[in-house]
Amino acid sequence: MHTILPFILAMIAVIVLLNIRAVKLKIAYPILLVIGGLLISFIPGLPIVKIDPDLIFFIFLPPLLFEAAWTISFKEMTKWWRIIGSFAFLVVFFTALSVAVVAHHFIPGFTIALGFLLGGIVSPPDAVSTGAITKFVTIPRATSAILEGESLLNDASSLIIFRFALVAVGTGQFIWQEATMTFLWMVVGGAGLGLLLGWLLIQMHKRLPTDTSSDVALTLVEPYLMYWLAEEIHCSGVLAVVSGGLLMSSQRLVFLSSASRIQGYNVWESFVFILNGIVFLIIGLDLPEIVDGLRAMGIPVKTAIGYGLLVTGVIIATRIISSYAALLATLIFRPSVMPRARTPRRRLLIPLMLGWTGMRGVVSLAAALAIPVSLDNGSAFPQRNLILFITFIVILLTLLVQGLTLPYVIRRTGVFEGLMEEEQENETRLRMKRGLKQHVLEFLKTKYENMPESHAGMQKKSSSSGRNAQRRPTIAG
Amino acid sequence: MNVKSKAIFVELLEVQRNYLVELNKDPKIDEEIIRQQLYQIDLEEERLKII
Repeated sequence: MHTILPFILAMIAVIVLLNIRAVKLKIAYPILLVIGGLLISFIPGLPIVKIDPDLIFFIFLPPLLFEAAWTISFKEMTKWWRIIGSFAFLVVFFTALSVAVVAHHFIPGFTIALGFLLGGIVSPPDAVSTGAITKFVTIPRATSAILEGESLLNDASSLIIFRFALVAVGTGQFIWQEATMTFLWMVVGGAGLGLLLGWLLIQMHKRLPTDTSSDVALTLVEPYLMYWLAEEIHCSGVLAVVSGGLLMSSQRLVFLSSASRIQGYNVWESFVFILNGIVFLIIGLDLPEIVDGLRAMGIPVKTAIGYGLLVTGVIIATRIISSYAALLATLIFRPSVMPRARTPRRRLLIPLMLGWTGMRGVVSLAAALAIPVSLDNGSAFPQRNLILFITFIVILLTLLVQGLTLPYVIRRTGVFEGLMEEEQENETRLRMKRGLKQHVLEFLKTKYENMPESHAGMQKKSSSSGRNAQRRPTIAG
Repeated sequence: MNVKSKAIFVELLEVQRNYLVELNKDPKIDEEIIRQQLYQIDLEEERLKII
């Protein structure tokens, strides 16, 4: 413990330094984290972080997903459920299938099951990376809602593919009927358990005399509880955390005080930031061992990089194809919700942009690290090092190539010009502030009209606050 | 600010929250705007506690 603790502290210090640098360079921090992870792998003598692959998911996934579910707007998700659903399930399956076929065809010794395993790992775009990169450009609210919603759900679908492929690699067989029943149980049971636990936890917060510190501490434990219980009954822990997180987020005004909400927001932001950084550094620290494993298998690093490039090309191409297919489907079935671009050329560029936003990140890394070292029969897991290496290359390339070029391409093509809802947003804000003021005045008149002094004072305060609405927007709007 | 005024202000903030929750049911309203306003109200409530 006395050796690992300074090491973990040093890792956090490195993450913070990389973030400072990223802010200064005006680039998204996951890009520098992945480069940092790569550079760390070249430093000789650093310890290799040994975390049981079974624990990787358990340590990292629940809080990352819970925070994502907490942040996302469920209302926007339901508004765009068709495209989010198709990207989160159909596109993920299409990507995993494409990767499986290509890997099976081009990589010697790669079975279809291993291909699906790799496909499941690299198919979900990462919400954190996408969010961090799109922060530097202004994109329409609908686009960001679609990207956020998709990122949240595709983690669940891709990890289900990952689980099935893992079983198929281990047992050497895949029974469709059994898999279908298991899939249904994982989805329905996971989502159901998440909602049930979410409701129970809300009741607990409401009934227990918790203060701010206890509330925030409990929210740190809750995603782990949801994930663990779901996995214990063989449901999808990911879906349990996502559905439970969405429910709790929608009820945050009911069971958390204003202080708990403010503190929780800050604590969670830092917690997720540290977790993200640690995963990137862990893979960097493991890279020398992964490369040694590749060499021991007789796979030159150059060849492995080539495989990584191939898989990256496949996932980018499938996403762009899927985006155009989604545009075509919208044009045929729901022309009323077609994107309103200024020119036909820009309208055609929108799916390309959507396709170009598929940066991979922490979930793919965690999934790759979660591959067991050995099979149940004791033999080494086939191609584990190669899968880890390809995953790292895919993340590196998508973050560097797509991540660094996306803001430039959006600005250069002006693809989202005319799609920004600035006027509508300003109107909404104005309507909201007027409504708040009106509502507060009505409340004061109704409740305090028999208290002349209080009434006069409050009305004066309300009207003066109304004049200062820009400065102090919360008092009467 | 005396305790009574503070209580009235906290009550007003709660009224504002309720209004925003109702407003958010309108599908045309961007939830992000509502959330930003709710966060401002939370900050205001905390500010009231320390003055």
